[in-house]
Amino acid sequence: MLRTYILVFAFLIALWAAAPAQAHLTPNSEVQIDFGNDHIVADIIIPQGEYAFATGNAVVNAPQSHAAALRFLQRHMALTAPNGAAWQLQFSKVEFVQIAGPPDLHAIVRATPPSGQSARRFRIQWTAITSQVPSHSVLFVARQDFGGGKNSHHREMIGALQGERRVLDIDRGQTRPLAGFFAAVMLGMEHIAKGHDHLLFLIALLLPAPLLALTRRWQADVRSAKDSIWLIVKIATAFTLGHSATLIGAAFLGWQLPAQPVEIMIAVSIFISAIHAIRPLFPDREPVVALGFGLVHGLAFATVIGNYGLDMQEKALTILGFNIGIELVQLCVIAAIMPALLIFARQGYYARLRNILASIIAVAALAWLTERVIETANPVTKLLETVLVFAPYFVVIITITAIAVHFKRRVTTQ
Amino acid sequence: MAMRYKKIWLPVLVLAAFMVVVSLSGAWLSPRPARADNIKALAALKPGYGPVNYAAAIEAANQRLTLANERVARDPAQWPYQENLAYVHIAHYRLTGDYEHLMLAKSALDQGIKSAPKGSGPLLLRAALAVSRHDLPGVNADLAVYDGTAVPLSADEKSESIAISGDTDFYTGRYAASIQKYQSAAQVSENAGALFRMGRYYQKIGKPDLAIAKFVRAAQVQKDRTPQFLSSIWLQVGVIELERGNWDLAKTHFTRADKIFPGFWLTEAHLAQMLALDGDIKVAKQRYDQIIASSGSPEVMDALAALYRIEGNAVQSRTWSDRAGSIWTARLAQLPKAAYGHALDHELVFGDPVKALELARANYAARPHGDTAIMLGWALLANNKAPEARDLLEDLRASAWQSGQQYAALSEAYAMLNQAEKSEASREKALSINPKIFDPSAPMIWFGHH
Repeated sequence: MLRTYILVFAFLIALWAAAPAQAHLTPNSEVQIDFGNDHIVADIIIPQGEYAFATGNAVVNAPQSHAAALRFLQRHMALTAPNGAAWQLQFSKVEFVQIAGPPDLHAIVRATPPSGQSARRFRIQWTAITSQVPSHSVLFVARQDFGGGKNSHHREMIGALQGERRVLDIDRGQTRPLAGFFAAVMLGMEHIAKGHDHLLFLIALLLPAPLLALTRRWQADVRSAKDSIWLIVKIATAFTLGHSATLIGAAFLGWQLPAQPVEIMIAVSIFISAIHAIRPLFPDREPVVALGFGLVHGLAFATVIGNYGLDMQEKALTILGFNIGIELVQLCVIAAIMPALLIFARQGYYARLRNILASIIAVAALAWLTERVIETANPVTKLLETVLVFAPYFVVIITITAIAVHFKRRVTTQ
Repeated sequence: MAMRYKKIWLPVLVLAAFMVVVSLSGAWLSPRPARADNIKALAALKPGYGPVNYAAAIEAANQRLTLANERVARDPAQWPYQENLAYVHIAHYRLTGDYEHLMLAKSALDQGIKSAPKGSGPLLLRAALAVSRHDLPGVNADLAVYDGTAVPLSADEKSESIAISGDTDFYTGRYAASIQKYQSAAQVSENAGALFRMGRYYQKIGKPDLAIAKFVRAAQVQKDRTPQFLSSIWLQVGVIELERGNWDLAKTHFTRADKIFPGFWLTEAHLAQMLALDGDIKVAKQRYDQIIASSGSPEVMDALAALYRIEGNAVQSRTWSDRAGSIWTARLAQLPKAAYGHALDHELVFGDPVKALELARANYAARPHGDTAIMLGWALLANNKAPEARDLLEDLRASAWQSGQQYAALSEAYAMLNQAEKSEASREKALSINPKIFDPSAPMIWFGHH
């Protein structure tokens, strides 16, 4: 009996030491660098606890603490050109702030190379925390580099320093003319193509475009193709003007709203547009509404590119490129669905078809709204994300069907 | 006109209500069905017998220890008495983590084998203990003698012997051989030992759901389920969720473990850590303080020191890390191989990176497998030896081992070597395994972060 008892538990002995040994992650620093034409801007994030642990300095938001942190950073950070000449460092912000997780020491420094030296090739000497705490590492990341064609959210690792490794050589290569502009175009295209909510908003506004409204109902009579296209052009243009305005405001005037309310307002805008497609809420004023909601959608776009570009020219080119990217995709979408829309609008069953599509969009809007309010994904939004990936195929099928309907009708008429 | 508007808004309101209900159900529906089924099956299991909490378990262990010592004192030449004494010491170690019990267990087993007729004695238990002490040489020799014993082995005995042999493969990086042996062991007898090992294997090769399924099956086949045993399964399942970034789910499982076997310092330490992750650092520190007072655990002292470090309290952090350090030093003297991993981690986070590297190399030499390779990788990085770390971690990547930590370390190695693309790729891989591995709060995880 005793032997059996021991045997039963023999495996426990081998497997359950009180607490298995394991490697532990330690809080590390990160330096995000924006590369400009003649200078760089480094956004330094050092875990506040690591700073206090390493230095013993106070970590309160008071002038003396900030001054001590500034002195510490100045002592432990230097940039030099390939010829050994020192860069000029100008700290614009030193603060203790909670960015994500535990609080951080946050500093922003503008670094300018000596006259005649490139802002794209330099050496960083860094000993802040890493020399005092050997397990601490600092990660250097390129955040934006307009000249190098990088202005997306995708982080780009440059290198890391830890312990005795204290020097990092950075060479971003030559600037390429308009690389940043084209990258912004691609970013705009990517963003709108993946931003199903923006596209559904647009489609919801387009659904009733060929129709006339009377006594709060959409009529079976349709506008002429020319009038329909003209209205669609006005809607698309108004939407573009709206989001461009807020993008410019965000980039140049610092307009910002927290992401959550903006995303909630976008969901509301889709819902209202979907209801409008079922019953006219603002007939003939779609362009005005598109302009207003475009302002809201622009605030969301601003979270993508609002901070890009270190000078006016870079910012302007980034916004222009991003908008062009958005417009290209919007035009593609309009061009893709327009033929089908104009053909189906002349069919007797269009009212039913429009109501079904608008109802689906309304459901999607409510799902997004709920997700964004309670900050929890739900099955409907997950399903939408899965299904909308295949949207181009649906458009092709609908267009082929519409063409078939059109030809059948012609044959029947003849 | 008013009627017409009512007609519009009524279905819209119904639709809206429907959407709210569907959306709220999302959180409830979120766990994948397979995982949910396993958790449901585990939740259905009830402990059978045994001490209902940690205090009762310690009391029972002490009583058994007194009795076992009396037996041995009466007739030291009886090897079953020595085996029993060893078992009781090991059970004590599992509760307290005190190395003294591991040493006394080893001593009793050596004495038992010495007293037993040649080719018999507590060989299986000594082999199992050797694995636990990270002392792999000699395990297979004991098993060979055990397998060749004149008395026919029962299916459970045979299974356990094969499984222990699989352990030596697992801890020397021969993963394919280890799983083959674990499967053979389970075929000989589907017992908790073989299934638990298979669970750990799948956990380490990046198949968490399969791992949970095996742990749950281990709990199901274990007929004499003690609260401590069942609690340990919940703890293990929680650790798997922790490793893939499901912190809330991990906390739920740790809470369950604590309910089943209350008062166990290791479970309490896991829960205290989850409080810290929730942002309640003050209470987490208080809990760690209480656990240290009752258990004297150096792991918890290190965890507390890490919390103070994250807060920036260097004085308190060093006070606790120094206290833990002196215990690790003593344990290194007692059982070096068993203590390497803990001591090197302590040195890596709080102490001397050069010393950490020495320990990491010794630890890896004793058990060259994924966990020790990752620790060696971090130690190499802390000592500016990124190329060696990269090579070691690339070798690990080529093996079956798959963990977020190994890719985090590999990403760091490539970053230090200015190989940005490879660093990014490794980072992405780490995030795909554990989306929260680079979360700023992740350094607060001290227990169960592999």
